[in-house]
Amino acid sequence: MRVLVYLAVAVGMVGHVAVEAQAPTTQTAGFEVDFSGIYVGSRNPRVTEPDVYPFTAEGQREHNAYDPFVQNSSQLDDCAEERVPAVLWSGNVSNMQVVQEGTTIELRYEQGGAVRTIHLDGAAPAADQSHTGLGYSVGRWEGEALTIETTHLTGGALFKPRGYPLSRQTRITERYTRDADDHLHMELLVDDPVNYTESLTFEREWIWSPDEQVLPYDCVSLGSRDSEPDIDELRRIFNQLEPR
Amino acid sequence: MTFAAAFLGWIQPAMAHHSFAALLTEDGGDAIAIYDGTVEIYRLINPHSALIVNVVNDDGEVEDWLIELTGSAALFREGWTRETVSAGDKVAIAILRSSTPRRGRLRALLVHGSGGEDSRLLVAYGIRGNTPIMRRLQERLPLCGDIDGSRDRSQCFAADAQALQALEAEFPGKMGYVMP
Repeated sequence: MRVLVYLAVAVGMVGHVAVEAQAPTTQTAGFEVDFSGIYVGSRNPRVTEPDVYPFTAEGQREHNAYDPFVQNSSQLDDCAEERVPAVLWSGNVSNMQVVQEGTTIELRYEQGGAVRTIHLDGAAPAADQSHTGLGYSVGRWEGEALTIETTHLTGGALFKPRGYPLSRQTRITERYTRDADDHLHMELLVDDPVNYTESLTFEREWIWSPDEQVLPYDCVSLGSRDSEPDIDELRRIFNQLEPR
Repeated sequence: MTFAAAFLGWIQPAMAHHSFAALLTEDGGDAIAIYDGTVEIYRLINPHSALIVNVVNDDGEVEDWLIELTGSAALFREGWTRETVSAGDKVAIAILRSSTPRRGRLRALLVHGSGGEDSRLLVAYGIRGNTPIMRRLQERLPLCGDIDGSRDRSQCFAADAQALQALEAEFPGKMGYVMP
């Protein structure tokens, strides 16, 4: 049984222009469907997560030992590298731009300024492909659905402040479809044999929003949350910034 | 392939950028501190906007505090601008204190009016949304500025001297009108 979980996310915006919206069309040369454009997390996006996480013994140990104030990299550095899938849950900063060009699709997230490249040419990752927060992604069209498989992740946690671990062996499978109301629906599967005995599934929606923008993120770290702020250093940093 | 079922729960905490290590009271509530001070620096930045406020502590000494706000990406969309707060503003701040010294998260900011202007009360964490405190303020004070209250996040209220006096009489204590 699935029950919907709602998240309040801001819709609409004011502010400076960063990226122009692109009007989608139904077909683009080289692509089965054109998902191009800017999307905003719907005001009440349906987000589901498992009611029971089927931990392996290792996963249970990691879960029990997780301390969000220590293991969440954002606690030490506000500008820590964004990771998949955590970047996909972003709430207040949910704008995303889809750019389809050549044999790649770029997913540009406002959160952290993260950019994912989805390879559609079937190119496998190099033998020495490094593990990164966003991983290596290959995509394929299945009718009007775009499926993305991502590997070579650094792992970490499903949700930054919560102790659901992910290993470097994690494979993330996203399946995107867009309905007649321009809602972009994502179903996301997590396969991590180190930490879970079964696949986990999550869902979320965005709304195509041609009047929206993806703002530059311009991250500034306010320092580690586990120590007194270095006000003098912050004063120096802030004074170097243009007032904004 | 089998899928686990989903549960009904509030997933917002899962989306948070990071955990705010709030200082707690003996009964487990958030420790709210209130200070008078002067804004030294205000910056709309990500993932958290920031104020450096020179506050007068409980011993009457001036301390520099870092006050975190929502990130600029969200605040821009709520209508905040770089003019919403200015260096030199005389303020009273209500903050959720961090477990580490001289760091807090903005709960409410009273910008004292100068030159005959009304004061402005900006409310944020812990008050935003359809909360009793927000309703209390909405019933008593007009809105100010261009903050989009429909987003149920932050809000700006105008408060002339008479309105502030009435609020302080009705809700005793320093900034009692924004306290639980």
